[in-house]
Amino acid sequence: MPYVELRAHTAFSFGDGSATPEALVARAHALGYRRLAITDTADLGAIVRAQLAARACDPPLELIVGAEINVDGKPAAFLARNATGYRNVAALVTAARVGNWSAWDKDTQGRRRGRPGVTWAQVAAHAEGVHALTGPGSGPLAALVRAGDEEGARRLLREWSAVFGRQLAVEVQLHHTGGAEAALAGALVSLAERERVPWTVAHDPRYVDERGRLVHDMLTALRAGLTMDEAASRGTLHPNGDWRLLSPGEMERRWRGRTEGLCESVRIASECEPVDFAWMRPPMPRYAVPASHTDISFLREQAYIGARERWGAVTPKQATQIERELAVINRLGFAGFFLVMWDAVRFARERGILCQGRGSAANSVIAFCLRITAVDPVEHGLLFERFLSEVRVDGKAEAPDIDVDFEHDRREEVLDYMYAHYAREKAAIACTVQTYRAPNAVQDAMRAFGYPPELAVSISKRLHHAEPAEAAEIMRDGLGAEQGLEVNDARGRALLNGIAAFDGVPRMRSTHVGGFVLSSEPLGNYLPIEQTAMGRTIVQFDKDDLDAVGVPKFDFLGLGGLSAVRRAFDVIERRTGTRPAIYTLPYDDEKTYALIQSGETIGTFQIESRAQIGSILKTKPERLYDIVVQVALIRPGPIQAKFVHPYTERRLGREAVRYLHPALEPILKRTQGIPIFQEQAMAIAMALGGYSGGQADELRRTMGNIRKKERLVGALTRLRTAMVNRGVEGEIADHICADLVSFANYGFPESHAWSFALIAYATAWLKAHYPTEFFYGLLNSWPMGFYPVSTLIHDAKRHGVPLLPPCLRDGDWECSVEETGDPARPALRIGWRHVRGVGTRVIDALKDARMTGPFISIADVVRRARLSRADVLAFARAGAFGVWAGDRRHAAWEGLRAVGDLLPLAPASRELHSPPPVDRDRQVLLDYYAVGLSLDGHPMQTVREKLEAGGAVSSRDLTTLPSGRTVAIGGLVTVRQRPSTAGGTIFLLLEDEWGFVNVVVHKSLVEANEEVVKRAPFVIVQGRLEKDSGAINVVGKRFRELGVGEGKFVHRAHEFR
Amino acid sequence: MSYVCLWSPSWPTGAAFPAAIVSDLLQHTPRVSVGAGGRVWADARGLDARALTVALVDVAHRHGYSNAHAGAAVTAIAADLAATQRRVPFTIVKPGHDREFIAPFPVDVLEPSSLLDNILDGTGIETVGALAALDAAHIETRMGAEGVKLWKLARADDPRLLFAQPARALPSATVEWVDYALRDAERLTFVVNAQMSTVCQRMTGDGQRAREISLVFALADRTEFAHRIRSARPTASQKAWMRLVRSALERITLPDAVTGVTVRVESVIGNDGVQGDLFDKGFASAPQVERTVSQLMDDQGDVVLTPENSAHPLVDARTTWAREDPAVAAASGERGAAKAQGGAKPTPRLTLQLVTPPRPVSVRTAERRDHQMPVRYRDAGKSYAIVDAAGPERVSGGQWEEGGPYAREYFRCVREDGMLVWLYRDAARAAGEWHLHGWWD
Repeated sequence: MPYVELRAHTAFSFGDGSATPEALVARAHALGYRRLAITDTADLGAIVRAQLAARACDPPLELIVGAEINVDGKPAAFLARNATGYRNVAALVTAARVGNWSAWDKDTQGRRRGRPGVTWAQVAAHAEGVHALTGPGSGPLAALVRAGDEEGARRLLREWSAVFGRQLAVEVQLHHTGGAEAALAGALVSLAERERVPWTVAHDPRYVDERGRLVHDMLTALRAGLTMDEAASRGTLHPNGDWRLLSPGEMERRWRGRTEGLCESVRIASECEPVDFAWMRPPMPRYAVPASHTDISFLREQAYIGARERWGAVTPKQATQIERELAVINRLGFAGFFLVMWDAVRFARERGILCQGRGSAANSVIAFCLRITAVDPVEHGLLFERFLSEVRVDGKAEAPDIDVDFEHDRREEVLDYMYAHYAREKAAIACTVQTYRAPNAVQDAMRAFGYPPELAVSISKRLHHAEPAEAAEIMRDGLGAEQGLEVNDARGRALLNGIAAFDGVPRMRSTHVGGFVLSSEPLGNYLPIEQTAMGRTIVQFDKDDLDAVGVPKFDFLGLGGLSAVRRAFDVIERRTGTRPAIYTLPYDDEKTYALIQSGETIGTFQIESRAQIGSILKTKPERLYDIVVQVALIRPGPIQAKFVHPYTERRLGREAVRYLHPALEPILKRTQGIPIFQEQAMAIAMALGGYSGGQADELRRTMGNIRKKERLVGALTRLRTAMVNRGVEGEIADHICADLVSFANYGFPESHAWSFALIAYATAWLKAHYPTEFFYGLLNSWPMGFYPVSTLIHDAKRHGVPLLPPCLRDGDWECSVEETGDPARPALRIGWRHVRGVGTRVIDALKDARMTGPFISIADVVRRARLSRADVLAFARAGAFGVWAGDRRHAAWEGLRAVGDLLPLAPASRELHSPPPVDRDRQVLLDYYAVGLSLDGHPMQTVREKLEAGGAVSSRDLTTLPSGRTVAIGGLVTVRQRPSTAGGTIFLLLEDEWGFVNVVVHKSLVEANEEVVKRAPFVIVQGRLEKDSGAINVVGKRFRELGVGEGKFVHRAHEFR
Repeated sequence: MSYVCLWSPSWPTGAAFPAAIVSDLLQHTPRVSVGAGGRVWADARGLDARALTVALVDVAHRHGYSNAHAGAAVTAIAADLAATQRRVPFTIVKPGHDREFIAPFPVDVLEPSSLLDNILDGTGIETVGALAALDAAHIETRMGAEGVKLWKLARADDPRLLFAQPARALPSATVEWVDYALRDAERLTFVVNAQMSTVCQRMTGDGQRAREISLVFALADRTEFAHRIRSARPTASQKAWMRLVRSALERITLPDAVTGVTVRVESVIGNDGVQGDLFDKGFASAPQVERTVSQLMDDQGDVVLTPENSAHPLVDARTTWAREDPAVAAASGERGAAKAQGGAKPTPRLTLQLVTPPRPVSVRTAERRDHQMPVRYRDAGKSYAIVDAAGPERVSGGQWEEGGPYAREYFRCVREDGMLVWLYRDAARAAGEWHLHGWWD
């Protein structure tokens, strides 16, 4: 007896389902289903992944899309019979999630609470193409039957029948939970038969196996705010494991004697068209072009206007490229897309928001002329096909990939403009689906099983970067016992099983950093939309889903680097009256290159990491293109392919540049014969394999997908064959293909590298010429980049920037620049927001208070900003009251008096007490405790004498010591890095009062010294000094925690992978 | 000197503290208390502080804790710091010098809260003495009530009383005779009555009521026989106690003739109400019963247990007994089904009688849809045919429970004799063993 499950749930029911779409489809296929409907709770987020998995089945599984939605508070299910039905279901999901568009308010919408739901009137308005099922035992019809309201049930069924006609079925479920359920099923069948409405069996599965049930139980308990024990005893959990996907055979046995419901499921499924991605593609947004224009003619006009602004006279070569691109854009129908992106960039520019296209868009001369990107692709010979290809995927050309970076903290202005200009209901941002990782799997599972939260936090902290299943293994293998967790009793075993079962399960949605989706029609009719707590709207599909469907995205990204540059430019303009422009800086500035070559690039964009600095010290960049290469070179792909060393040697002329084939010379000449950029891989395929631009881009996309290695192998095999067929020797073809494998692991497009290099150069130029303004921009845009604030402050000091402490009279919530006696050396005053322990509420209160006039005393600050004792202490310890009380302790004493003085008419005595004086070392430690940084020194100086007595050296000494010597060196760990390319090796960046030193901790030593190398704030290392072309490393052998600051020292290293 | 504090950084703390050390310490001091952080307090009142301190340190050393330190002082804080902060075996703080003694210690030793610690740190108050030297008003303004409390401690103004006053001796009366031995209850009652009179007069004079009295009989064989009598309500009434004594003497059998009687009060409460015995016919009345129950609840705490039924899938795991607030329990009045139904009249229904624990039975089954339905079962040697079975009702789960996961398939079965029984198959075991879990009557 055939049967189609019409009501399957996945983990995208968030809290009410635990199977991933892929697992559900695979299980359904294995059980013999040929059709399957997914009805997640007010959610369509699973369907793209499920459809891709269904397509991959052999024979393919036909997927029917639907959703379970609360109608007037009770759940019912709606299946899409066709494209119209899909759009109605999507519209219902959107309406359930975001409510009424006409009453939308960004500020209040985020606080909208309650279960998503729609009214019956909304359902009735979206009935076309939809097959309705009356829902489970808690559904609107079953609820009336259970209540014994037969007349009400009949009336409701007739009402639904009047709207849906034959596209309605009474849903009957049986999970063997007892007599009441069986009686309800019987009553529903009788009612349906009396009312001549079809009834169908549905099983409403939430998982596919026992592990899935455990996850479902945990999610159910967590959703209810209960432990598993409480949830079980309150009947919150399902009473049995019958909500798993049953096979058609099992369903037939369960319903033997009443198989009409099974047949009806098949009939309903047969009337529903399998889901088609084309249903989901919204029409492109329309830019309102002048009446005399079409999209393409207006684009042409704007492109040429821009070209003349960029180049003056347009050369034939440039015009040819413009026309060629316009032709492709026109053929693919993307003129409107370019105009919308141009509109966003134009808006940003008008508002003074720095922005710049990145990624492959920089390969487009149209994007360059429209000022979306900053790199001239004609001048630099960039490959247009890398940007826009005419290869069709799923019957549709792949949408152009234009990523535009806006200043990080002003991106919201651009988003608001797009929402406002293109209508709220026609715009939304792609979501990011966050799957369970070890820390949240451990914390959620332990919370569900009722373990103490502190224990859960302690364990989860030790499992960063692990997947849940891996975490369960680590806990079983000793971490559990080490942390006092019993893992061998029933609860412990269930806990570990539960943690492992979270593997791959989606946990929540968040907003994607960039992907904006726009349409000329209400977007929710194509793509399900929900709201976020910030009042934004997001599509329930993530970036990969949208790519698979073929929905173009407008990637509006936030970039801290641009914020930093703009802020620095603002101050320069204010101080000098001249505003630098990011793209008109002198690209041959000696001072800038000298700074870069010396490795003093901390804080600069992209070239500040220790790996970059180490490389720069060897390659000694002397022109902009060197920085372009540098940006792309220190990436996992080139590093794993071992390209860094030969490139460096060839760049320095210590190794001859060789080409495997003469045809490679024009392609690889600018990168010393080594393929570093994706465009070069494409050009090689075109030159040696005879590929078209589209085919080459297809190859590039295959190479870019690290998760599909077998596809990469196939693509490279085809390329090899093509090259050999065109006369390339087999051995050379093999070598070339081997080189290209590196692109499977994060290769950079040259255009992208160019875009980043321009910002990198701008930041280096600022640091070389305007260090105060540079650090001003950087610190006010923080958090960004590689280093903590304390490190940036020390670097600023090393570069001669006069530094001033936070001040509540003269300073501001952000860092500020103040004039000194030397106009060339303005001072940088640290902003209030860098005072540790001061939150945004206090900062806002201070800002509001100061709007009515400057603060005149400590008591005035306390009174007007209503500071608490803790706030006063934080500011006092940071020296922010220094202008009124030189001694920080006196300032705290006075501030606390002001806080506690509740009788202003009879003020408390202002008598001071006399704290003992604080020496400099102690002041440094107190500063770190209060602010996380010190202007007076470095905590390492407090132990220097002791270290020197023990034979330890400082980072300054390393410059004069010979390579190969064994040294002991201590420092503050500012950065911990464990790159995936390093095979378990950890890199520590130790900071002392003189500078930095890189410490290499080989994998074999990590385990034995785990607590020290992974967690200690100060470390003393004994190891071998290695020096190479200015780069200094210590290869550690012994590690010990260094006690600094009486255990009160507060510092957290930046952790990277 | 009031206190000696004995402390070792290495000995177990809290409940794990070795009882043997306490026992040995009690050889030297009448009272010992194990406090937080491994501090052991000894009552030094009336004792030679130096000798006691030396003796206590010696005890610790004999138990292998050679790093134990002791401090003796009038105030607990000074004794505490003398023991825990000094690195000498013992320190005696001269009476009147406590404040001076604790002044040089860092203020952290007073264990301030983190905010207060932050304030002290931020204002440069580094030592106990620096804190003590400040003006109270300054402290109150800047640090609030908690700061004042700490400030007092810094001034060795420690309100802690580690040892309560010794309990007063409770009334008792004894009479002994040597020239004869009593065997009959009547005469014994007469003697006891005379002692009881003395005791009750003393209690009345002290404003006390006895909760429990012991009768201790000195026997001719030179042994003692003790019998405790509890009154339902504390009382100082000789009449009430003698009624209980008579009743007791009728029940107990003394192993030998009696040569002496002691009537000893074991516990008392203040005399603040009408006294009497709830089970004394001459005393009991409805208001007295009510008052007595209330008194019981007050005295005994949460002794009212009520069943709480959960919705746990396993019937046998559904009911737990939970404490109920006696006031709520007393006010609610209703119990059982009537309470569960919110006061509605219970509808006539069969009652499920559970078999605890479920009894294994052998069952013959027939296939029905996707399950095996029981058609006959054998229990205690008898075989029963099942004419109808409703089910299955499946329950499963509990992977995390100590009893292990459970999976059962329940059937409500009608036997051919009309009896309704509840059977289940244990699906968690491979054999799928059947059990009788109950019947309805």
